[in-house]
Amino acid sequence: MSKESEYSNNAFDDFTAQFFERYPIKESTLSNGLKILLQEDHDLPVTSLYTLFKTGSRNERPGITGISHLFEHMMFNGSRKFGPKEFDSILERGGGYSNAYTSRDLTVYYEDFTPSLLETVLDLESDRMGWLDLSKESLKSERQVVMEERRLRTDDSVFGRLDEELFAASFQCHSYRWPIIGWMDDIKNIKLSDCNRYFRQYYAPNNAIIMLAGDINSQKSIELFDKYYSGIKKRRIPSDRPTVEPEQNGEKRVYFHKKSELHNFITGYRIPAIGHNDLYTLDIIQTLLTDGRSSILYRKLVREDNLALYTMSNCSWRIDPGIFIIYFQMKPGRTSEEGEKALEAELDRIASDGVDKADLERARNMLEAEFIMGLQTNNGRAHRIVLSEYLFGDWSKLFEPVKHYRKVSEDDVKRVIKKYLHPDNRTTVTLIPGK
Amino acid sequence: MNQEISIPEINLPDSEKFNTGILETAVIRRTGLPVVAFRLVIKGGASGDPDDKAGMHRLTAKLLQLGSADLNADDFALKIESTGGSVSVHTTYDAVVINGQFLTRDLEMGFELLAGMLLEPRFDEIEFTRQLAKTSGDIASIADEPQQVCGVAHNRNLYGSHPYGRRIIGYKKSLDNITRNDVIELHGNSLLNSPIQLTVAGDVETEWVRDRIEKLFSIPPGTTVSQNTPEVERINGIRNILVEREELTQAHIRIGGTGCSKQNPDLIPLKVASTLFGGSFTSRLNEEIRVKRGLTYGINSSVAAYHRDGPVQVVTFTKSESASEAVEIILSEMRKLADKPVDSDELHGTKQYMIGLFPFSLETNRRIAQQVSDSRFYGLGDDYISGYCRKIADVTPADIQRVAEQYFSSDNAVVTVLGDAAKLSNSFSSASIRKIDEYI
Repeated sequence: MSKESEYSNNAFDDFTAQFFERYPIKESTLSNGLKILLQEDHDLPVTSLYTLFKTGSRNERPGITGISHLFEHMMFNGSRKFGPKEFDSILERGGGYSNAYTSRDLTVYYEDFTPSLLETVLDLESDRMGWLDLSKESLKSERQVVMEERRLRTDDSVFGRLDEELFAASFQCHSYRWPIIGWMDDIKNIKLSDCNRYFRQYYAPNNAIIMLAGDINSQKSIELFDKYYSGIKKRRIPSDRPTVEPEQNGEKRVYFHKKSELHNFITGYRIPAIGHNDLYTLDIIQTLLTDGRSSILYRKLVREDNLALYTMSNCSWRIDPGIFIIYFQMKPGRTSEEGEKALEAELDRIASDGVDKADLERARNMLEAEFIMGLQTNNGRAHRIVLSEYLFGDWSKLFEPVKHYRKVSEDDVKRVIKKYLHPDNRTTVTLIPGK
Repeated sequence: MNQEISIPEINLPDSEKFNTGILETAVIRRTGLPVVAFRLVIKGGASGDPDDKAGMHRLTAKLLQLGSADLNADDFALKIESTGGSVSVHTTYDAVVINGQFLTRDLEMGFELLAGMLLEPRFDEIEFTRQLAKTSGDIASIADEPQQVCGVAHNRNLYGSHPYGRRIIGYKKSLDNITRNDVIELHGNSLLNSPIQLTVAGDVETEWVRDRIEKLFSIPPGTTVSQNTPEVERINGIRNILVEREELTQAHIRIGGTGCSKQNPDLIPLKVASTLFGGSFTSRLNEEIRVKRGLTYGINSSVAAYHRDGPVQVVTFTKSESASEAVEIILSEMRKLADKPVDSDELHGTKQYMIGLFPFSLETNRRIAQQVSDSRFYGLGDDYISGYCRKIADVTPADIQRVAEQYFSSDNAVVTVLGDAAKLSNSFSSASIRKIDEYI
């Protein structure tokens, strides 16, 4: 083992052990099924609260695509005790900030706030979890806002359009095929009754996980959670089972026209769901290919061959099998066709010859360091821990990915590239500049 | 009613300072995660570019990380990334900034690489050519990012021929004028001759840092280079500019004038005014444009401050059909902010929001290094960070009205709208029409 690897293992093991000693996690589960995780950190007067609901665009159906995301917007518009706009008003005026995001598999709400605001935040959050007040006025207003968001992020966006087309083509029947923000026509036609039904089905304490981190007292916090959340009834959560996507047995291609200065393309390869060990190797491959100036595609296609201006790859971990994405923005005067040929040549080369030991070590160290850096803030820790609890079923598996990265070998990289990153498993979307 | 503002207690370690060789160094020791961040700031940035060589500082800065001493660009990148560390360089109007972050165990190597970048950059011919080509491509690619183009256009419309109106990255034409010799001379005669400050924050001892700095950065400091950025002229009257960009469903809007410098005591009340106006979800602009009318997904008011007066601007986007309505409302709200004293309850809420969130800006070593570095660079005083919340708390309604009249004037502002002229030209018939190419 190289000196760097030895060093790496010792430092990371020390760090992992110290992390849970320095920031121990306490658990509590209420009788309504709400799981609560707490972590104290008294370095600064800051607190972060994450609420994760186990629902996303995966749980939708045609006709109401985008409802998970639209609903995320509606959550800020009034509840039993707090009128429209009061959530943000009370929070911000007390010294706090709120945001949320929706993905294909989950919806997350978080607040960063001054510690003295904790009871207020729990009052606000629990009231909307249990007794959200949906109105026609707030639906009308938020619908307009979401339509503007769609125009910004998708309709007028080069990458946004490519991404949307990629998912639509990669998946014939699984609910991953439609965009998280929804099709414009569905956004325009979602009804209040759809929103009410969605809230009753998915926004339940037994369908949520909460993580509180920062300058808190765990015992007192648990008492507050009990005070504010115990009164929320558990509900029967639908056991949604999206249609299983059949195996892909050949390449798919999509072309579309859009005004653009440069040629762009995006490609997606079908990969397994969470729980499959190949995902760890795919994370390593993502880092090898496009993370940093010493990454393979950056060195070859951006610097040496002067083909691409920008490239990125992404291996998302999903509840159901997803896709591994590689995106290229070509340099002026270079075409997507040239980019695709070069990409395929590099993937073939790695599948056949493998990667350098030094490259593999680099990828491992980058992923490990990124992991550690991401734990510097209460918000970062709370986010990672609540995701570990949901995706792995156990927050204590927080560091599992990094332990697995260390085991990935050069042979694993070759095997996984051959298995997944090949043309018959691929969907490619190409933007043709101009009308 | 006199409302008490709650100010959280922040116990940030004092920074220990020393001057050694070419660097003025400050170290803030913070135990916890085994991570150290550093920020090196060289006085003199893009505002010093000659008019016909816009982009020169940025190009030179980028080349600092493309090979030094016996490491070519690829080896340099591999050496950093093999540890999981990071080094990045960026250029502002006032400075060239190198940010780095390493696990503590790798910091020695991080400092060695930093010294190589600063003192022995190679400026290899091949890297110069590649970086020129990349920069040219980056300049072209902005045309596909309407929000960014609107920002570039608005800056030019606001500042005109002042250096702050130029793109820091430069232009296709100006890049053609920059030679490798220009870069070498800029580095040797200007960057190394300027005051250079290093700020280090994280799990590291001051004496260890001092020892490494003395070994690695032992050349004498340069003679002081004064910042020659000209004063900024205030906007007189309203200027409406429509920048054409076909096939967009939305219009991108920027409205505002010039603000104040980093050292100006108006800056804090101006930031409070800006937050109240458009810097939070419950701000006036968000309420009027997004919440009440659903015209946008995002609207924001912001204040930037440099060695001279930075821009004060409102930024938003909306479907083309609503663009003129959005502009009218924004200008109307600017008038209200200046004409009517702000309610003490509203001001209290804004101040509490800013103060409550301030500690989050100190949560990571990188953020601490940035805060301390900025206060050192602009000479804001050792108590700037510890006294920041108190300064916010002391802002009065009279302060808000005063800065609003001066810096948020709806009678003296530039309005830049970018979008599909076919959909917008009727609503903005009095605007001057420009093409994107004039700006990039």
